[in-house]
This record gives sequence, C-alpha cells and structure tokens, in this order.
Amino acid sequence: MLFTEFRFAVFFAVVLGVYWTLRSNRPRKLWLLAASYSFYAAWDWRFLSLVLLSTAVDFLVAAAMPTRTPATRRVLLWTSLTVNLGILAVFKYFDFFADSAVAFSNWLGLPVSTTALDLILPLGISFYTFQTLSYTIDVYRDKLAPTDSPVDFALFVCFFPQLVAGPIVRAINFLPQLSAARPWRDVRVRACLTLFLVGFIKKSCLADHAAVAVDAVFSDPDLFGAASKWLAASLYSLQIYCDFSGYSDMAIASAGLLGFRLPENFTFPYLADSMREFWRRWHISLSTWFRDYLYIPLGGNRSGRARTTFNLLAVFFLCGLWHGAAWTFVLWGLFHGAFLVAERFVPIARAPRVLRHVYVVLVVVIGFVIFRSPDIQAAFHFIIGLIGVDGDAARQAATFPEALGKPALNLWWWGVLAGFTSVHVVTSRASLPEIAERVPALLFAPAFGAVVGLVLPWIKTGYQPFIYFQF
Amino acid sequence: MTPRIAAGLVLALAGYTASAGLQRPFVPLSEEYGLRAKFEAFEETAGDYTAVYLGSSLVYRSFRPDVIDPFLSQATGQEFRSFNLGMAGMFTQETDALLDRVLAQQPARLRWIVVQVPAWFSPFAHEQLGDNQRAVFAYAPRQTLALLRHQNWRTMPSLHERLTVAANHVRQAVRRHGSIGLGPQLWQAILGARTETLVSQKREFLVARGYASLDAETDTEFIERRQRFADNSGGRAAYRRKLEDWSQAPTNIHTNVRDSYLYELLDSAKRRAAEHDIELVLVGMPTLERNKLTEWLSTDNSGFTLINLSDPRTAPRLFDAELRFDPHHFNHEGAQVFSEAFAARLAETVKNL
Repeated sequence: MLFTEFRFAVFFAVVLGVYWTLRSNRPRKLWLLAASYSFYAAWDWRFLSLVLLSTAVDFLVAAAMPTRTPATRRVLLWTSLTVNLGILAVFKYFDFFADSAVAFSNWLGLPVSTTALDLILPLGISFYTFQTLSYTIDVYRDKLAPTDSPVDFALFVCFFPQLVAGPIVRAINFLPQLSAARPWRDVRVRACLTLFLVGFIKKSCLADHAAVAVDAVFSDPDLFGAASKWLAASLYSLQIYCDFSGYSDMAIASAGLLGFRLPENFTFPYLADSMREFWRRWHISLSTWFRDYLYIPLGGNRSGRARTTFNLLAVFFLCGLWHGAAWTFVLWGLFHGAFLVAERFVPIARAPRVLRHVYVVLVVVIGFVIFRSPDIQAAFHFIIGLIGVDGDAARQAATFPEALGKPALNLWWWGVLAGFTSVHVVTSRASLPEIAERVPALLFAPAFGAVVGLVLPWIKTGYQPFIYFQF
Repeated sequence: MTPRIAAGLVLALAGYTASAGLQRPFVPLSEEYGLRAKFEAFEETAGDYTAVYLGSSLVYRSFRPDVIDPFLSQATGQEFRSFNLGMAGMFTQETDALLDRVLAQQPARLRWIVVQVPAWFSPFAHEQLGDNQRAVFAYAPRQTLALLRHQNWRTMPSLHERLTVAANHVRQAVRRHGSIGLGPQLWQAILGARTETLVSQKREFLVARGYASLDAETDTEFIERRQRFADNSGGRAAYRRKLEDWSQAPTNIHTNVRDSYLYELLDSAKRRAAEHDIELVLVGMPTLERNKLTEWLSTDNSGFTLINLSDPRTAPRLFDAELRFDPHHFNHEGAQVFSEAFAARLAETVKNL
C-alpha cells in the first residue's frame, strides 16, 4: 500500500477517524498498532514475523539491561546486534557476499560455486533494523531508560507512516510521545495536509514522470548523446530526491495528523555548498544515525587526520552498503566519502558560493549515475558518455526514442529542472506548511480542495513504488 | 465528527469539484487505440453523415462506408453517408458514453446509429482493462446505478467480487471526474498541440471514414495472427470445426434479459437517440461465439430494430474462412461482403420503417 494510492486514502481515513474517536491513550495505541501491522501485512504478511522477532528481541534485551553487570549488558547488546544484523545479512546481503566471494575466488583461479538464496527483500528491513538497534544501543549507553510497555515499543518499531522508508526515528524522541493521549487541538491540520500534498506532488507529479525519461536513457545509454545523458543524470537526481523526500513529507504529515512528530529528513540538500553540508541536509535521519552510532564511536574527527579519513570512508562504505547489496552502492558511498575527506584538506569555503553549489551539484549528479547504474562498468561507461567521448552515433541517428530524442521534449524536461530549482530555492526561504497553517480554515479548505483538483491530472497513474522501498 | 471538520470537508470537496469541473471540458478523449483521432475525424465532418457504426473491432474491421454508402444511396434514392466509429476493445459502457458524444454533436443529417449487439458474457469483462485511460471515459453514474439495479449485481457469486466491481466503478468515476493522469493531454489540448501520430491517424480515418482493414496492419502481432489463421491444417481447420459446432453451442443466458445491465444500457441508448429523431439499429455480428442476446432480441418483441447477421445458417457466406483475417475478424474482401449484406438488410429495414 503506497501513500499515493487511493486505497491508502481510504485506509488512512479509517485509521484517523477511529483514532481520534477513541478517547484514552491505550486503546489509541492498540488501534495504531493493529493498523500498522495491517499496513505491513498488506504487502506480505509472512515478513511481519521478522518485524515481530526484531521487536521481541530488542524489547527483552533492553528490558534486561538495567539490572545487569557490564559484561552481561555487553552480551545482551551483542545478542541484539547479532539477531538484527543477522536478519539483515541473510535477507539483504547473503547473495551479494556469496556472489562476490565466488567471483573473487574465481579471479584467484580457485573455481568454486555457490547457491544463491534468492530471498525476497523484506520491505523496510534496513529502516526498522536501524531503528530498533538505536533503541538497544541507547539503553546500553544509559541514554534512555527501557520502556516497560511492549505496546509502546512495538508501535515505535512499526508505526506505519515511517515503517517502510523512514525517517529513522529514535526511541528517545518517539517513546515519550506515547506517554499521554494527544489532543486534537494540538494537531496542525493545515500544515500537515499541505506537507502531505507537497510530498504527493514531488512523488506522483515529478518523480514518477521523470522516471520515464531516466529509464529510457539508462536502459540503453549508447543511444543518447552527452546532452541527453546529462539531462537523464540530472533528472535522476530530481527523481530520487522527489521520490524519497516526497515519501518523508507524506510520512511526517501522516504522523502529524495522528498527533506525532517525526524528525525532518531533508532540508533542501541541493542548496548545500559543500558535501559535508549536503549530508546534513540529505536523509538526515540516516546520516545522523551513522554519525551517532558509528562515526563518533570510531573516534570521529578527534584522532588525527589519518584516523578521521579512515572513519569517514568506513562510514560511507557502510552507508553505501546500507542502500543496497551491490558494488555500485558501495562505490557511491566511497565516492561521497572521498569528497568529504577531500573537503577536510582543501579549503573550499574560500571559493565563490556559486562555484561551491556547482561543485556539490556535479558531485551529487555524477554520484547518482553510479547509484542508478546496474553495475560499475555501466556506471563508468555512462560517466565517460557525459563528456561526449562515447555513444553510438550511428544508432543515435537511426533511433530517436520518444522520451528524449526530440529536442522539444528535451527542452520540456530542462524546463522542469529549471522550475524545480526555482521552487527549491523559493520554498527554502518560506515554508509552505507554515504559511498554510496561518491561513483561516474556511479559506484553506476550498483552496486545498481546488489545488488537489489541479494536481491530480498530473499524477502518473499505475503502480509506482518508491525507490527507497528496495533498501 | 465535529461541525468544524464537517464544514472543512464539504468546503474542500466543493473546491475540488470546482477545479476538477473547470478542467474537465478541456480533456480530450484518450489517444489509446486511436480513439481520439477517430472521434476528432468524425467531429470535423459530423454534419455530413446519415449513419454511424459503434462497437468493438468487429465493427471497426467490418463496416466499409465506401461499400455501404453507394449501395444505400442508390437503394433509398437519398444520399447516404456513414462513418465507422468502431474501436478495438470497445465495450458496451464505452459505446454508451461515445453515443452521448455523438448526440452532443447534434449532427443535422444523422438518422441511424448502428450498434453491435454486445456479447452476452459477463458485463464485467471490461474490468480487466483496469487502468486503461480510455476506459475512464466509459464510467458514468448512470451506468453504475444501472449495474446496481439489475440481476448482474444481485447474482454475483461472492461479496468479494461485488466489492471488486464496485471499487472499480468508484475508482474509475473518481479518475474520470478528476481527469486523473490526463494532465499532459489536457495541456496539449489547451495549447492546441497535436502529436504526429494523432495527425496522421486522423487523416487516415477521414479518408476511409473510420474503417481500416486488418490486411493493411504491419505490426508483427497482426502478421502473426494472419499467418496462424492462414495455416490450413491449424487455424482454419479449427475455425471450421468450431463453425460446425455452432448450432450445438451452449446458451449463456439463464436469466431474465430485461433485468440486465446490458439491456438497460441498450434501452437507454435507444431512448436517448430517439430524442434526437435518430433510430438505434442493433446488429448481430457474425461471430463463432453464438450470441444468445442477439437470438433473444430477434425473437422477443423488444422494440429494438435488429439486423441479425450472426446466424451461419441464414448468412453462410459471412462465415467463409476465406473471408476471414482471423477467426473473429474479416479481411478486406470479407468486410466488403459483410458491408454489402448489411447494406441490403438496412435498405429493407428502411423501407419497412
């Protein structure tokens, strides 16, 4: 069930209606828990067992920690890490590591074969695994007292607005919100509805349409010249941003309508003027997770340049791997990590701001070529094509695919990119949800309905899953 | 629900309805299967026609205005000019919606709307079209209400099936009202832009007045279909065997036709056409699947004008394998033979009316 589907609107209306009809906190939480499990089971009920396993293990492990000796606490922590990362390793990474090991062994001249598990990747596994781990680690570090309510903890793990693609919520922020029934008057309805609509537009009107052109070029890059490749790479950057930040907006808005506050996940990343700043604006809940649970424990930037370099590359290696079980994701992570390392040695702050923006956009766009490509060879082939030294001129001349081959359509997409950039800049200065919250309700309601009427013709129909669902 | 929330919902709905309603008139017909090109070709010359043909590919590939028009002009002593609005996959609800569009043109000379008798299988067969943009145009509250009123709904085997059909109707109605996903077409229509495909299709439809022979199709799918059927030991042999079994074909009607979704749509179409002094003529098409609705209409005093060409015993030539492109459709020569037969029968009908 996708946020952009009609059936989600029905599902959410029912959940919302019943939730606010219930007066006390416990029935509300039980209702949300049932709704969240139903939401997940609508995709594949069998994988609900993994969510339940992860929930049970972390609840029990954390509950046992406070009264134990440090050594036992460490054992408990390792139990949680082993179970959670073990599930992730089996379902997400087993085939990748097995295939890589076989390829390496063959390269060494030691032929071996293996059997792939070919498991379906459970939806949202990377997200809820990191979420539950953060809880156990926080309890282990005495930053958080374990909750004694299994319902609260289960709801923290599987709260449906953010269950399958984040933002990755910390227990320290979420669990206190479950302590008392939240009054309807505290809900910022207009801001939430506007935020949901913004996310919906990003996903259904921009990302899904951009995907058509992107897929056309990436499926056979040789057919296209350098300009079209730049266009496709830029459009993919737009697509993935609109897809993922659109999901986050809708998740935050849905949670907001239920009275919950989720953390921001994106703050206009393409306006960053360094890669360091980019990662403070892009997928914030993941980057701060890696910062707090990996980078800082590794020593952060406090142990000299060499160690900092290692720490950054290690974090971005794992950040890449978190995104997917493929070497392209690892390379993408290291590519970003390398620029973060370089920024520690090169004083880019002295460069004019415009140049810094251009630098960030270039790094991000080229990085996403690696991210989007099916393998590393294809990624390099595409990147070489960006400078116009590759491509099949004869085939390009013979075939002009509808999606991009015609100059007019190219101009249309360039216009979309320009329009998107303008909106990105304008909305970074004035928050639409905040403006909407100040509009009188009697004016907001018909205006909102009218905008929905203007938006719906522009959605791409059919099943259009979110890109980050695969992670 | 508090009065404040209720008021907000009503106002939001009003805003939505207003903005969707303002856009709706600008949305062109879907370009899928050339529907928009064909209707625009008709629209441009609507005042010229005395008859139009509506139905599925059986109509599209069978009614040749270049054959029918001279015949009927001569037979009736008045200029007869027709347009073939048949379209691949057109189902009854779509025919019904298109009929309204034809009537909305108020074509001055139009006297006959010829509609293929729908196949009497599940009236929900079109549900499989799912997200087909073209199907969206075919859903109207009138049709949904007709569905709910009749035995088709009452006798559906399971609640799940009923809910699926109802949900599909609601979804399609919402899509239709909100022009959902039709933004690019809307924008093109407002700008007056035309794709090359649309322009060339429209030109061809204007020349042939909506008819196109399957023989002229160059897509691999069509070529393979023709080859499969041309194989004497395979396609044609199977066709002849099925034809021999025709008289033993099982009946599909077990219920009261008058209490059916399709009957209400046809009856409503007849009345709407009559309001414009236009006669609705039903045609039983020569198919291998024995159409029991055609047989019912031919025996019952239903008040419909029916030209029944569906019986191989009375119209054997129309079932000649040599005249077929595939088991269901005529080739170009077959379309000529069919058109002559139809024209002769329509001439008789005109005299009797």
